[in-house]
Amino acid sequence: MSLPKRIIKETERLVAEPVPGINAVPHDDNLRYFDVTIHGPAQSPYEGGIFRLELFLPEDYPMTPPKIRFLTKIYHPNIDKLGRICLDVLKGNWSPALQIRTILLSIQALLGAPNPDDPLANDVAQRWKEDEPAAIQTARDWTRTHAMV
Amino acid sequence: MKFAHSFSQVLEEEDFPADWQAAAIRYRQLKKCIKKVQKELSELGLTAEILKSLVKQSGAMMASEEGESTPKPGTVQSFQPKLVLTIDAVDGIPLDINFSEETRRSLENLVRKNTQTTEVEDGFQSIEVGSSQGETRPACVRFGRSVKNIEITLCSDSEFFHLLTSELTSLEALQSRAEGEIKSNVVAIGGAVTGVAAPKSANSKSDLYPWREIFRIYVESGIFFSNRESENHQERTVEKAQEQLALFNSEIHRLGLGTKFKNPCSLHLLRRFIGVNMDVLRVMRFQAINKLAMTKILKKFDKRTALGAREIFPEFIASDSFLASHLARAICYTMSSSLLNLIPQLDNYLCPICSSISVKPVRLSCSHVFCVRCLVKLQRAQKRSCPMCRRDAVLEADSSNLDLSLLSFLKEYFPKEAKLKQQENEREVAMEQWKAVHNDIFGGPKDCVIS
Repeated sequence: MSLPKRIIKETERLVAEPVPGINAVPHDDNLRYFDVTIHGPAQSPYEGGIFRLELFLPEDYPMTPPKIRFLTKIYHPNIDKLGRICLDVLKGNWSPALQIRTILLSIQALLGAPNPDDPLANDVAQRWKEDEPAAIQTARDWTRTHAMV
Repeated sequence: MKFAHSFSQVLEEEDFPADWQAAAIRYRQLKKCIKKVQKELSELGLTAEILKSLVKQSGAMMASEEGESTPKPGTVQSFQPKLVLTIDAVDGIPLDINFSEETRRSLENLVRKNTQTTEVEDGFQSIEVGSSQGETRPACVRFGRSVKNIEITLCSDSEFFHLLTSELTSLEALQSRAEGEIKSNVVAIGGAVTGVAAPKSANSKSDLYPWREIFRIYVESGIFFSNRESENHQERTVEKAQEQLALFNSEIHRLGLGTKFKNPCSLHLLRRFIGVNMDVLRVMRFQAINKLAMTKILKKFDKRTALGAREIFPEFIASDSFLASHLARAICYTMSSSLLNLIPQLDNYLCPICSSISVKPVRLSCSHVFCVRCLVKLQRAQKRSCPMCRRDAVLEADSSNLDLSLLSFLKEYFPKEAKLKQQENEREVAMEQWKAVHNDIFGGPKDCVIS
C-alpha cells in the first residue's frame, strides 16, 4: 500500500526542519520505520549522551500511536530494561493530531523530568524515591557507559 | 580607503534616485564640523585628552547626558549644548564635569525658561530647573568647600548636532515617503492579482493556481525574515535578503510559473511584484549605508572631542523609525495582509489527522475541523475526545456538523484538491464496503487461512 500523505508530510518536515537535539531518519526500504537519536537534555543526568531509539508507524497511524523503544540502555524510572517507555501520550492519551516530532519532544522532556511515581522500571523507581542522588549518579554512569561513543 | 570616499562611491554606484542621494548623510560636512568643535574646544584649553581625564576623574561619564532635541518629523528644535564644569570656588579645581541637559524634558524647560541652576548635593549631582524665577539658590557646599558652576556654550557643537538632526529628519522623511509609495504599490498589485486569480468556475482563464504557487514559494523563501522556527523568525540582513530574493526568482523560473499564466496581465503583475521587492531592498541598502555613516561620524566625534555623544545617540537612533527593520516589518505586514493573504493557501485548510484538504469538513462543537473520513474513523474507534483539545465532542457529531459554507469555499478555491480528496474518500468507502461484503460471504478473513 502506498504511504499516506500524512506520513510523507511529517517525514519531509522532520528532514527540512529538524527539532534541535532530535534526529529521525526513515529506513529506505521501510518508510514507516525510523532510526531516532535523542540528545540527553542539559542539566539532566543524561546530558552529553546520545540515545538511539526505534520508531515504527503502525498500519492505522495516526489513529493509533507510533511504537517507540529505546535501543540504548538507559537508567530511568519510566523506561524499562527492554527500552519500553511509560508515557501517557504513547498510550491512552494519544491523539491523532500529535505527530512524530511532538512525541519525540515529549520523550526528550521525560529525560529531563523523570517521574518515579508512575514507574515502568519498578526497581529504578524504587531507588529513585529512596536515594535520589545515588540514582542520578547511576543514571549518569550509565549515560557515560552506554550513550557516549 | 577612507570611509568618506567609499561612502560617496557606494551612493554613486547604486542607482539611488537623485532625491535619495541628496538626503544621504553629508559625511564630509559633518567631519568638517567636528574639526570646528575640536578647534573651539582647544581654544578654551580643553583638548580631548583633558576632557577625557576630567570625565574620568569625576566618574560622571555614565551619568552625563547630552540632551538632544526630540526628533519630531519635520521639526528641528533649537537647543544650546553647554559644557558645565563644577569647580571649587576657592582654588578653581574642577570637581565635576557634566552636560547641562540631563533629559529631554529638562532640556525643553531649560530652553523655555532660560534659567539654570546646577546643584551639587551630598556628592550627587542633580539638575534643578529654576522653579521660582529670580530666586537664586546658594551654591552648595561640599566637604566644607564652596563650589561654583561654569557654563561654556559650544557653538560649533550645536552646529554639528543641528546638522546631524536635520540629516536624520530628512532621511526619515525620505523613508516614510518610500514606505508609503511601496505600500500603495503593494496594495495596487494585490487588487490586480485578486482580479486575475479570482476563482471562476465558468471562465477557465483564472490564474488562481500559478499565483497561489508563487505566493507559497515567496513565503517559503523567507526573504526579509527567516521563516524557520529555530531561527526565531529573525530579520535578514540586506545581503541575505538579496540572496533569498534571488533564490525565489530562480525557483519561479525553474518551475516555469511565468509561462503557466493564462491571463497576459499576470506576467506583467509578476514583474511588478518582483520589482516592489527590489524596491524594499534598495531602501534597506540605502538606510544601512546611512546608518553606518552615522555610527562612524559619531565615533569620530567622540574620539576627537571626548564629549560622549555616542552614549546618547544610539537611543536617539533606535527610538525613531530610522532602523531599516522597521521598514521591512511594516512592508511585510502590508505584503501579507493586502497581497499574500488574498489567495488562500492549502496549508491552512488541512485536516490535522490525514494532512489532506478537509473535504468534507466537519466542525465539532469545540470548533475544531476535521475531514469527514477521519471523523468517521474516530467515531468507529469509539474515540470520544477531540484530537486537538480533548473535549468530549466526537461522538455527538452528526451530519449537522458539516460546515457547508467552508465546503463551498474549499470547492471554490481548491477545486482540484477538493475533487481529488472526494475521489479518494469514495474509493476508501468502496474498499470498506467491499471488505464488509467479502467478510459476509466468505465468513471473514480468518477462514481464508490455510491450515
